[in-house]
Amino acid sequence: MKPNHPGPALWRGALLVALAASAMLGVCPVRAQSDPGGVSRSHATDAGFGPPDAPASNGEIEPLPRHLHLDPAKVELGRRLFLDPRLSGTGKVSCASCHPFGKYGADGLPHSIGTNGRRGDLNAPTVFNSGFRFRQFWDGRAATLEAQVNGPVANHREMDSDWALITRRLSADSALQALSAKAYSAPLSPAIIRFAIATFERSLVTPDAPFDRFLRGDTSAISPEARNGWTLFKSLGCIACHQGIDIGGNMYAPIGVLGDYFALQGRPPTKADLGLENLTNNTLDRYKFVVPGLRNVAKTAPYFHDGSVNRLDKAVDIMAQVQLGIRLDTAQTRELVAFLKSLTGHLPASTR
Amino acid sequence: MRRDLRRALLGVAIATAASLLVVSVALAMRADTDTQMLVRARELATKLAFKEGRLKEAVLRARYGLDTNYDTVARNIDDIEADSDALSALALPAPIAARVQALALAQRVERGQAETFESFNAAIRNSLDYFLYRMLIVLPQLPNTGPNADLQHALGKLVIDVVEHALNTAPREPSVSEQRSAQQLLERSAAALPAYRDAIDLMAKHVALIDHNAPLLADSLGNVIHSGTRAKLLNLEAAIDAEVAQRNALQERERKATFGLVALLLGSLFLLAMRYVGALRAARDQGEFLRELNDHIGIGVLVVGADDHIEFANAAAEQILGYARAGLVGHVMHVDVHVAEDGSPTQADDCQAHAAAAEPQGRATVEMIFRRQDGTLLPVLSHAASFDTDEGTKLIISFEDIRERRQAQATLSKLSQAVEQSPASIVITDIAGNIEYVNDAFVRNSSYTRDEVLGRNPRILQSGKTPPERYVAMWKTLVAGETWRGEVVNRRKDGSEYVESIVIAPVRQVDGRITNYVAVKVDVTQQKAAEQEIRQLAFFDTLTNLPNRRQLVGRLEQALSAGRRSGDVGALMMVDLDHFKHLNDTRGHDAGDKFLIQVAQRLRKAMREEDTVVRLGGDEFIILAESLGKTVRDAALGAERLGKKLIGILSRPYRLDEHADLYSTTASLGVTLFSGEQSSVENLLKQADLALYKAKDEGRNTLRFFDPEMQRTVESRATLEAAIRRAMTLEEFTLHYQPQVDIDGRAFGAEALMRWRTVDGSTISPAQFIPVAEDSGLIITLGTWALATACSQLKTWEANAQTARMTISVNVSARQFHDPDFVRKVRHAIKSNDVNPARLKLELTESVIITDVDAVIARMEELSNLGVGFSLDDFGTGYSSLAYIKRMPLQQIKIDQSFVRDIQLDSNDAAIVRAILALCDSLGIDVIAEGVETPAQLDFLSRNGCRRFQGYLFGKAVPAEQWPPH
Repeated sequence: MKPNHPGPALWRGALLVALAASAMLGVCPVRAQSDPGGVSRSHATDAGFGPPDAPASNGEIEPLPRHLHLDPAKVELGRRLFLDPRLSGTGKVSCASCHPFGKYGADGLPHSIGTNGRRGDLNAPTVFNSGFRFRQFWDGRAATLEAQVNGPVANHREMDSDWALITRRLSADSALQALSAKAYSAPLSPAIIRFAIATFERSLVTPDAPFDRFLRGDTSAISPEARNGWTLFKSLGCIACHQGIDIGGNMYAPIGVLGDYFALQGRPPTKADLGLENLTNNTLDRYKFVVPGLRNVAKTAPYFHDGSVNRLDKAVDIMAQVQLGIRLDTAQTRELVAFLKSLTGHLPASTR
Repeated sequence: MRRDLRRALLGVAIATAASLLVVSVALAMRADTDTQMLVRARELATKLAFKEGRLKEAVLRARYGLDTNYDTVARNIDDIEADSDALSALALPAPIAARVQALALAQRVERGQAETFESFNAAIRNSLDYFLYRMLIVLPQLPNTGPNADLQHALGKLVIDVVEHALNTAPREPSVSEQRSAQQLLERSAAALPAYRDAIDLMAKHVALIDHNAPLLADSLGNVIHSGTRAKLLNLEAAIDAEVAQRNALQERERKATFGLVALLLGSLFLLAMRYVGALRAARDQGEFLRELNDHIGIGVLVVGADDHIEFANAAAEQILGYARAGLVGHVMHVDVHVAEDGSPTQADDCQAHAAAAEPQGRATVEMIFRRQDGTLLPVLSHAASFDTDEGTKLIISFEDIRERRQAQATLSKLSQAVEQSPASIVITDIAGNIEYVNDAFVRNSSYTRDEVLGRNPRILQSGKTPPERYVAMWKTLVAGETWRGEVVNRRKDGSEYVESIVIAPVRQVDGRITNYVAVKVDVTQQKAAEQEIRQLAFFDTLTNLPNRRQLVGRLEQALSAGRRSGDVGALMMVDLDHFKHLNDTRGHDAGDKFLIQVAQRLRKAMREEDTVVRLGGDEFIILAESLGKTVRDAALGAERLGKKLIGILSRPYRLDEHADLYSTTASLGVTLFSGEQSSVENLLKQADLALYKAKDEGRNTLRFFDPEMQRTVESRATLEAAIRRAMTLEEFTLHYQPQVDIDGRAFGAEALMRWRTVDGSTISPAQFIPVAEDSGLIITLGTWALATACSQLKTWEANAQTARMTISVNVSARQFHDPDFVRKVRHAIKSNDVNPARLKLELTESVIITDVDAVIARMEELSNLGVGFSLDDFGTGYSSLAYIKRMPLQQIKIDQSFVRDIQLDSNDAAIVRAILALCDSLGIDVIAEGVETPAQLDFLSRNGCRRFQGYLFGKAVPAEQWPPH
């Protein structure tokens, strides 16, 4: 006389909490080792960025889509513009100067060098997979990639330019005009330049990282060491913020929850370190930044918003100390780094 | 001169006409744009309302761990921001714009709160994860004896407190002493377990963080959920709807006003055309000009001698130039009269008129400047001719003041431009209808060039879509000398069609003769489309006040996309009332209307709030029921239940008239299911229609599915249901008893399990018949029977010393438990069999206790007062909440067999079982493990403190006669 229940296997993870509390919480500190990252629940969203009505994702981390549905003409126009130094005031700095493709969309410098050798305040985030980021810039001041483009273009330390100048210069280029006509049925304009660059940036997705293959069911895609690292990643609590398709990039979090980041770095905080507070003037937002996505993290040193740490293992140790209040032993660090290295995907098709 | 007058008049006429034209066209265009903006705003508001719901859902899902990442939250925030920006960018009437602004503000706040929520939720989740994970390691390490024997129990309680605090939707700030005692407890634990000091210290930090963050998390969550954006959206939608309705009325007024304007316009154009035609004729007849000139008193005449002195001036000349009588004679022509533009003297030799006139028989007509006596300058048109006299060659000059004419010319050129460039097409034909003039707008609108139409008849524009009678009426009106106005469908040169609102007026001469026709045409295609849109915006059927088809399409689209998200299956049902036409024919349309209204009321009342009931037209209604089930099968059954209910409701008699008899009829239903993935709106409607046709074809008063598979599901279900009823009367059901044993293997009780063996000897699995019994309500009868049978068995066992102390557990389904009569039935089973209620145990599943917890607890307490006990079945597979479990009078929790099965293989299952045991221990609840099949499982369970077991290892379920098993 027992009514049918759904297979309890599904709820095992949830039960661990049910035992101590309400199963409705769904926090799963330890997951069965035999269950590779909840593969059963990871529905690979291959449909580009997913239509707005895509099913709500359930897995902590979703694999990157293998296919994108973007207009090739727009991507091509955007690619040319991205590489075009005429966007800068001096005509020497392009988007790709600070976001080179070969270096996984970041420039390897603590602070990028813009026009006339001027340096920025913060580390340049990678442009790869930025289409999945919910806000752009470390403090999230741009809601969209289209709006982000305005930032570096106008910043006197970056490209030091303006739209009128850029449009004037580029409009004379008949090849670009032809592409613009093909992609947007209109001549080049500041809006079209922004749209095209943003569309190109959305194409900069790095699919098929070993970990993504692992998520799709290929358990041999990552080493046992990396697998242990993934278990640690979840059980230590990294997953609380670094989750979602970009393994971060969808929320704000303060740097230094259970430890003082600046004390550890041996320097006082600067205005740029205030993060979101600079936008909201709310002290509750102090030191809050967009949680960086961890995809290709092994390739995008140096780390943190200030670009102060060159080694990935050191960055992991610092995160554990200031965010989780724990000191990792060397084996744990090694395993976490092995896991993070499994997040390196293929270079985007549109850069080749 | 009359010609110039005419020209001036012509100019004025054109001016009036053009300005009126511009005004009326601008008015029409403004109405168009505004309406389109409103329509767009309404669409955005609807979309936003939907997305707001999704954001709130996503936030709740993240809060309760149903989503383990924030991608969905972030995407919804983005979506809302984009639509909100688009909405704010629309140019809307002030009251609506104010609402949009208020909404945008609320959405910005909500966005910030959602982002804050993400941060706190992640923090709490991390703290709780860490705390629970370490606690699982630390708890079993604590000593059971000695001075710290109480720690395990106390920490167990702390876990519950912390978790409740972290999860509570309205957490209260723990008091300082509570916080201190928690910290002291952890400090004592750390002292007792020095090896775990670091971990326990960090646990203490996380407890403090949870205390700090929980209220903030609850605040931000509450602020998102109750952000007020939905209320603002509803408010906005209502405001837009009201504005559109008002505008509908306003447009009607504006249309009337436009007609007024057009009438005025027409008057002006009438004048315009008359002048124009007059001017044309005048131009043809040059000679007339000179004759008129002589007669005209306004012409000045001068005679200038060879020495350039004025020898004669007529009165008009003296008057025009401001001299006294005879005051002009003797003045030097090229010093005092004919001057340069700046007033300086000119040379007679340079004078064009002079030069031309000096030729033999020479004459000239030149515009020049004359100076009046007071020094002011005057533009004149002068005509000069020379004639020879004894005193040499003299000039006779006639001139006229052309100030007026110059002004008129300037005006004329401005105003001709206005007509030329007017957005309305203007056509002038001769009396036979041949085109004499078209303006630029005509060329643009019709895509014909001027050359292609001049001299042709406007009928080349005809599309054939205008009813021929309209042209007949038009000519009849025009020939009668009256103005015609109306709309015609015309065709461009490229074949595309457009609707024009046209006013045509005959142009009459002074003698009443009609010489021309003038047509002013405005392209109203877009306006027509907008009107159409507005009409469609009226979302409701006027008779029944139900949503109409258009709203259905919108809701269905929403339902499809919601279905895509949730995976739920819904149903679209088409309802048709049998023999409605007959009702209309025999009792009249009034009765028919009353009937339809009552049908609508009944349908609406029968459905859930979230379902959509639509009148499609006539006697056809559509029901859109979302989320009927997770699977097609469930939804099919749900739809069938619902459909049958509707058929029942609709077949009750209707009172259509105080005096007449009640009217009775039946209804037919066509049903199709949808789950978001497949199907378009149109397709679904078609499917439901086909199913309806089938239902009607098969004798009406019934329901048919579009998909034969669904139909079969429903039918086999019905067969099984009938079989259960039959089996109950044939007494084919029996109870089997499975032993429950203690740590020494002694049976202390049994679980009663229902079995169905048909008279022909075949057995039907409970997995098959229980859900059907549950759905059909038969479970109540079946469950009552099981209770009575179990009690009677208890009585039998009482007589035997070996079984006298046995308990029997009886499963109670959700439906049975919520039956209002349930308590009475339990009491009756106990009393009539005269058994000790303490020997009866009711097993509840988690599905029983998740709905309306307070009512469940009240009922459990009522039963508990009778003396019966409770066991919570399948623990761990559902949504049990410790917070509730603590409040329930539970004696026992049953560890689900799925955890027991893999206890050896899966360290996770082992940890879970261990933890259940530890926690139940601290709560004082018994634990029984079911599905124990191997000695190894028994060993593990007993080592971890489990004292009660059930499973094949101790015997399977047997009929009472075969008790005890083995």
